Amino acid sequence: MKLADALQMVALTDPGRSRSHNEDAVFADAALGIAVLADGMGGYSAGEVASGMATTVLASNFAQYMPTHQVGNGPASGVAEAMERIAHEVSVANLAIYNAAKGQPHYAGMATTLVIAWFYDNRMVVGHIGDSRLYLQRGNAFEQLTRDHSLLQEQLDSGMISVEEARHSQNKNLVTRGLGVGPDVETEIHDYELQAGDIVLLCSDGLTDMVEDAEISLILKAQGGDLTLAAEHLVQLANDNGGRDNISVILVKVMGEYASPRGWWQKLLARLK
Amino acid sequence: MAQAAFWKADWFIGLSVLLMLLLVGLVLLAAKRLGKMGGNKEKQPAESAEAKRMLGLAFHGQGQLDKAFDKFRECPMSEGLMENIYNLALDYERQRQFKKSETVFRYLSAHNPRFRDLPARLGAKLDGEVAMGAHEPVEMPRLGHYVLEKELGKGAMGVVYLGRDSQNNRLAAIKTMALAQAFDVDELVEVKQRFFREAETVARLDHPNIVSIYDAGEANGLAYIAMAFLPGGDLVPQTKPAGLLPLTTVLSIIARVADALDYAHAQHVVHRDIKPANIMYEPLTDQVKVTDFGIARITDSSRTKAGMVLGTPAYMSPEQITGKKIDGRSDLYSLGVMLYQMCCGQPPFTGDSLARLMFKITSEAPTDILSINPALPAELVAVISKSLSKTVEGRYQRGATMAAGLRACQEKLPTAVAGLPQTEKVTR
Repeated sequence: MKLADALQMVALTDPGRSRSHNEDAVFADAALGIAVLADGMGGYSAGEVASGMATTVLASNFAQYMPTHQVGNGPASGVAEAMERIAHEVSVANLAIYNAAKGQPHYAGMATTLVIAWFYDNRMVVGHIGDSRLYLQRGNAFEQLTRDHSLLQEQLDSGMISVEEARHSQNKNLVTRGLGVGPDVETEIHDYELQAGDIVLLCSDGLTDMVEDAEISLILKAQGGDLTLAAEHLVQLANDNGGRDNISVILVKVMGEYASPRGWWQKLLARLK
Repeated sequence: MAQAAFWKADWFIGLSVLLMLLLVGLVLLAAKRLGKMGGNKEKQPAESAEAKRMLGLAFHGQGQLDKAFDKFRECPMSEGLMENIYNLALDYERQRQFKKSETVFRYLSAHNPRFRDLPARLGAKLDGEVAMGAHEPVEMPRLGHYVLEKELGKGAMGVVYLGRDSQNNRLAAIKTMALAQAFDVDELVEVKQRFFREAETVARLDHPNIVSIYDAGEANGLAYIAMAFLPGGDLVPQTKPAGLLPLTTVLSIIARVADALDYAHAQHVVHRDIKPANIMYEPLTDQVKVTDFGIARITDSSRTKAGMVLGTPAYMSPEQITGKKIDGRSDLYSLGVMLYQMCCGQPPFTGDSLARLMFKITSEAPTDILSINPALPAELVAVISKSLSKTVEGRYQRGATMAAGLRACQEKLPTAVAGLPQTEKVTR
């Protein structure tokens, strides 16, 4: 199946109830197999510039890269290639944001979180920086695949505080990694196999701070048939619970197999299709 | 024979049919490719104006100034875009591409000839080489009733200026905060209220070891706090091995800071950000003053998350790191970290990652200070370890008791023990 047929993607972003600016930015294109979500930081309009730059630069660079490259001839090499490409493109975006912040004084200090998913060959490569997340709903299981790069998560990991204490912590939204903070960035990248029926959720902390995981999972199970509806419902719920931050969600549903063509004749067929 | 000839012809026909098919295939493929490209081109204009601006910024960031200008030109003009393009022009200038920068300035001028200093730039260029150096003396910028004389540095949220009060000719350090830029419109009213409330509380603090606040106000979209200007500098250099002060001086400085904290805590003001950079010291007159009281509180709630990424929690108390509510005893812990550093030139906790450092602060004992400076008297080591207690209850409960402990150490000090390990003198 072609990517555009095998994947369904819906992206939605909302300023929420208490912010006038939306500093989140989203990009999703099923034909490319790319979904990007960024949550900008930095005062005034700088945050939305950082997140906007991240999604735009990644979208445009991948759109240029994809038609000329076929990833996934032999799973091992494909995975390595995809991971390397994500790391490369993210560092390009990072440098662009970092330099823009230096060249445009009123953007000084801007940065953004990032989560990017690249779907190819029945797989998904996920890169992330900061506290924007990616979840996978498979059957009844709902699992968070990314681990936040946040002060809170580090404290939880090192056993410094309990989950209960974390809920009441005063430094909930402090991230320890950001895109555009320095000339170099370390992207955490992992690779997963996907199956038909899987639903992938990318979201900003505006959703997860407001809506419990169990509730998110319930909505995905009940309304997974209509992604647009499910996305709207999630945003609505976050707003009903206070909507204290910008809320962004990208939903990706795997409709069928999307194995990369193998062998020359399959590739020829794929091109002719 | 005839049969053989027929076979040969058949083979030939078969081959040519195959070749023909291949050719057709290739032509089809090429046609498809072309069709695809056409399709792509139609897709391009869908790229939104905002996306173009972002790409422009990215090109600018990558140093591709020409490509950036091309992208910016495709966007509808807006105030924000003017700013972006203006900065692009400045970069052309920095690269000494004056033709290009002038083109860009003219492009801006076509939209708004009064933008920033465009009239001056383009006007001057039009008149040719008029009067380099024969500039009119630029009028000094003002902020409220202060005339700004020079920039002193950058603070937590904005620039710090040296200003002169036009009413009484008194010098002042003026901390500015671009609140309107750091906060959302909807938060702004509340933030401003908090800012002035906090400034008022701090202004009421009247202590010889606390920098006095002259006034706070708002002008040109900047909130500012004007405070006494102190000659001398902060204590950062005195925490490095090369800059350590004699022990008796260290003790007297820290004791005075503890006094100041005791006074402030009694007024329910917690500093929240005690560190060497916030203690001003003037060696000639031996003056010590704590600055930036409560500023941390104002900036604390800022949602500019990026700031935290860069900050270091080296002076934070365990309870501050774990996000609990804090009181004055957290300040005394931070003062303990400073004391430790000023006695041996190294921080009590180090870690190669933020997580490691935070873990050590909350759960591990500090590096044994005697292993760094064996010359420290036991009484002082006891004071240090008491002030670095992980539990709030285990510490000095008041600044005054900590000051008393420090002064007791100071009296017992043999004359002229410096803060450094005296290996050099010993070996001589």
